[in-house]
Amino acid sequence: MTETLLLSLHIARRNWVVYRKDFLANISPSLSDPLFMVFSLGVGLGAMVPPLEGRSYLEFMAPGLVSFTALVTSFFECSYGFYIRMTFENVFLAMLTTPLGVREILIGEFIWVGLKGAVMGTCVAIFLALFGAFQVSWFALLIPVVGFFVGIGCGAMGLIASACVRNINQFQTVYAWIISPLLFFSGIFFPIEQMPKLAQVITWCLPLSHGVRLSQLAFWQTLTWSSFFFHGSVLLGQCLILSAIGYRLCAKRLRP
Amino acid sequence: MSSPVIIADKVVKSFGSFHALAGVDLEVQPGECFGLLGPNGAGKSTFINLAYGAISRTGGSLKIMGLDPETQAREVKKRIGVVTQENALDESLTVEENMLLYAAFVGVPSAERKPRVNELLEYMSLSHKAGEAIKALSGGMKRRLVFVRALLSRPELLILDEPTTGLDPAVRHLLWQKVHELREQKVTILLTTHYMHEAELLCDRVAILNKGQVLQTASPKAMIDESVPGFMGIYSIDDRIKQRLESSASKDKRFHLTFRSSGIYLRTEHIEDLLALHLREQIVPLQMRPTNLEDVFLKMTGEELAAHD
Repeated sequence: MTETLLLSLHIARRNWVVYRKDFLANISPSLSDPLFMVFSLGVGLGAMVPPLEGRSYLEFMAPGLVSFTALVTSFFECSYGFYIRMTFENVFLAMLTTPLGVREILIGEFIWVGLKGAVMGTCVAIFLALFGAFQVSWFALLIPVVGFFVGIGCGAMGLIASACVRNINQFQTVYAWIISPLLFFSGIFFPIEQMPKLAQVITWCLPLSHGVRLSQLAFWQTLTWSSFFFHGSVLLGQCLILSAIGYRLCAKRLRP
Repeated sequence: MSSPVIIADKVVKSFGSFHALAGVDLEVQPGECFGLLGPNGAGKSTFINLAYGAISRTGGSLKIMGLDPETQAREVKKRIGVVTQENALDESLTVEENMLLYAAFVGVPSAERKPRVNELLEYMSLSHKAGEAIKALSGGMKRRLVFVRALLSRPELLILDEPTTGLDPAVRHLLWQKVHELREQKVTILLTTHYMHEAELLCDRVAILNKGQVLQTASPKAMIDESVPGFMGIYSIDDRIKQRLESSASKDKRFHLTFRSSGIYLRTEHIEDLLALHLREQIVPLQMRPTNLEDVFLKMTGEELAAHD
């Protein structure tokens, strides 16, 4: 098990080496999107929106941007990024001739997107704190944990997509009909309770909404043990299920 | 005598109803260079994938250095190196970064990685390219780098899967020289190739694989002597020549006539018989040469047509 973990960390390290080569280009979309959302929606539109759940619109939407960032960064990494590594660059073929197996490769990819989700989410939280969108407290320690698990869950969705698409263009369909609705209807921009019952059920079945809720409760310092265990365990369960499906499908694709 | 490095006993691999390997038996001895030859689709790559545990077998037994690659893949892969058919180099990394990453994969301690990589880049005359992007390398350099990658683990068994396909003669000769040096260091080598000359030059023994079965295993020389001894005259496809050669071959059992898409081939055990025939029939051959492994290969895999077919 230790050896598996060590080998998997080499995969995560490989991805980091590649990522840092073009650091500015890679990090820009992850940070610029939440930044512009804060200005346009939080400050601009927020001035015209009445308080939501007793908070200004900026305070309401800011926490969700942490999970939003973790979703975008992990989904793109495990869809376009992983697919390109698997098909166009064919890097896994040679890796499989070394002591690495399919298991180490996929665990390494999960570690990488989890860490990326954690770090990116934390970066966005720091920016929001500097902007005055939330008060720093001990609850903020939850932010990287939420980023990590949202990263794993949404990264797993990216892996499932990578295993299922027939060509790289088909990711656009996945993004348009699965990822975009997730972003808009997971409680980042308005409370989930505003939607019809069926839509609420569907939304709560996907990992982003529980990540958003945990971020909100942490930012607003209203997190209770019961809400932590409820949303945390559902998020963990969703991560496990999606990761198991993603692992199984991608393992088939990776074997020669 | 030490035990064989590879022991395959009735190895079967099926994909649905298709049997890629239909009961392969072979043994590769320590320090030996063993060639696995066969036409496309014969099962060579399937055997190699089984050897390092990338796929699982349908039946039979396979041992690599006494280990079962299906259940002990990691242990097997720590002790082997594979020159893959495709380069599969990581184009996002430089030459040196690629090799340092693979050195980590194969378990080279971190302090030894850089010296090991530098030593092997030097060995393959690639030191000056260490900082370059993979895209900046020529096809021959990429292939040499794949050799470096395969040697990082200091393998006891080196698997070469069509190592020189598509390379120019200079690079091919360089790689052959490196294979010879590795053999001197007692590294066991399993080679698949479409170049019969390469197999004849490098291999102690070869197995000819066709439709998932081993047709014969022997040294190249023994195989040639047994299957197609003598000399080969090669003639252009011309009705007049064909008629004269067919007439001679039908009357004289010393002549063996075959047709290939590249020309008409006439074999005899003694070169004098060929020369006498040319004088008598006023025929000028395109080429005369000793028989080789390619003649054996084409005969055994049924890729050529005998005059009576």
